Amino acid sequence: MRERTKVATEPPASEYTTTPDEDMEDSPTEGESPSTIVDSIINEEQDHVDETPKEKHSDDLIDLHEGSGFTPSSAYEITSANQSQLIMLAGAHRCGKTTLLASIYELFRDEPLAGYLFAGSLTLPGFEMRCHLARISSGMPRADTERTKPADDTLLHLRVCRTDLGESALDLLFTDLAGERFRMAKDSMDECRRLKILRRVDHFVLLIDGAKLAAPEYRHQAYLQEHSLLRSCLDAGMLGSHTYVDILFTKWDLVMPLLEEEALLKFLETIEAQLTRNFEDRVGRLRFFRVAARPNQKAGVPFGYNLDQLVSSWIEAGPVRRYYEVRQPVMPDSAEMREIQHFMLIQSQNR
Amino acid sequence: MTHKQLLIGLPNTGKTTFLAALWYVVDTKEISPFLTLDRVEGDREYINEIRHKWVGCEPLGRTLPADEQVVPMRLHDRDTGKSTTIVFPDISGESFRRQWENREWTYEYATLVDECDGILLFLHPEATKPSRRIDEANELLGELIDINTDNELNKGKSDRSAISDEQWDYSQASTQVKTVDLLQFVCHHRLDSPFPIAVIISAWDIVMKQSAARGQNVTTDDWLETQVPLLHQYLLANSLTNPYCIFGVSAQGGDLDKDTTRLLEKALPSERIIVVGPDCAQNDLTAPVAWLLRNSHQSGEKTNED
Repeated sequence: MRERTKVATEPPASEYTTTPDEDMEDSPTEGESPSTIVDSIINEEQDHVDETPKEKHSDDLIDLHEGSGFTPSSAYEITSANQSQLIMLAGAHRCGKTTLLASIYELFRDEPLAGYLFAGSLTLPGFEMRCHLARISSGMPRADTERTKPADDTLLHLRVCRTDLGESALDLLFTDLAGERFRMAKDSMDECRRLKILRRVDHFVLLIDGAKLAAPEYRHQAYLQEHSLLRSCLDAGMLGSHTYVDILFTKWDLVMPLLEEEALLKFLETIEAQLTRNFEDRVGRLRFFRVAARPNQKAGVPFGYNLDQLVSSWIEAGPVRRYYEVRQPVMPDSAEMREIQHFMLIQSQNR
Repeated sequence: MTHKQLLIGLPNTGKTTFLAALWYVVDTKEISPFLTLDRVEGDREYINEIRHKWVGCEPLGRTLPADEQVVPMRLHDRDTGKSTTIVFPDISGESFRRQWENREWTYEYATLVDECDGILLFLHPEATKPSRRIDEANELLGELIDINTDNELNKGKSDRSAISDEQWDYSQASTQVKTVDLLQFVCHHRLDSPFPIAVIISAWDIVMKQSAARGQNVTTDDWLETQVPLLHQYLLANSLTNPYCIFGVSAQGGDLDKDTTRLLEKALPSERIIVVGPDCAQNDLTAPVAWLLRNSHQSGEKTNED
């Protein structure tokens, strides 16, 4: 088994978080349109964007896109050029965030997924790295996933389009963040607000570790952790009606054999009801999925169980896309556009 | 008018062999290809040298970065009646490998990318490396070994656990992943300015033999879809901007280790060549070049064929 490096108690500062001195003066307002939020953050960050992607070296070499992953500022090249969805995978350490990402990529590696073609990725090395320990070339006796350290926080990119080429391609940006980020956000509103990328998220995907759900001694704590995280994000105003929330019960292959146990069944029903009651009317959409990104082979569950449904739902409906379908897109200048969007969103909420 | 066609492919995918055989076909006109040599241009030492080796069924060896050349040919299109100078930069596979691993290219290559009118993308069945998951391998092992024999599995597991796990490095990525990124570098640099792609599956004779042995009739599209499915999806998804066409090509006509005698006995060396593609004669190696010529933005015509 590979040695794991020790976890830092405090993750280092990064583009994903603010330091206390950099905390935003205004609290984010629930109900701001996604474009308003995105534009305001992008305008902040553009001051720091590197405008010279191609630099000449002394030996006449030009850099190509690095490929390991984007930061929120460098991802602007994607979000500004094309329709995109920002998907955040959130949850405790080892709940399966990176494995989920790696498995989605592996599914596309073999064939179209859920009626969509792989149309490109500017982070192919990033995906390849994350798949490595589950491949034969790693020499590992069984599949594993490298733990995401805070210094490895990144955004991975996939471009997809329908197999009939009927619509233009859509860019998907996935966060791959260390579990420590969410542990801190769960416990502190200030820490939650410092995770500023949350405000830009279209799909907030909360993973509840199925391995812990299957164990009576851990299941209540595992659920409570993620319930607290979601509440923290909502109460801090980082998520809201502009966000679609998916709650995933991961490692479902470990849960399935135990579904005859009444206690487990009742527990699952209870937590779904609680989450729905507590949060459904505070977000754009709330849904539940049972997934097994890399199931145990003996479980008889296919690789990437239910990921096709999950991915197609992200592609087919997102809060921004839905918004533009309802409101006919017009092309005023960007400042005017932000005002109009903000006004129309307020109007729709007041109905 | 000058038309530039960029040959892209990882090491050992048959780029230089293609050029050598192409030079022979257009110059000798032994068959009736789409394109024939109009007149000679430029320094032909390199192209003559590789053609000489090809005719003699000698291995061409790998092109080294120091050997990279730009090969011009002034060719006449028998259907349109037009003559065009087609320039083929023969870039080594090593240079493409370095693009993927080092994430950089030269200014000179960037200029070629800016100016190219089409791409010949090379793949080779025996140089196409997959990257299989552990669960896929275990599933296959489960079919081959009696899984009730725990001793066998435990032996296998203990042997594998003795192998030191490796850090990931770029060389471990599969051929299709590297090839997709090579194309993405071009698209990104050209700011999505369109270009057609002729996909060349080299050593097509190997695929034909293998599929015949299995009683199958594998088409070029079948091969692309099953052997490099990620690349296949990428080409299809971007085909409205960058139309593509797939050709199965055997420029040598066989295995130089086993078939040299048979190949040398051909009265016309052009007859060694195998080309499978839309509307092209069996030996017409100019077919992919002609397709690119007719589908570049210069000609204003675009089609998507298989």
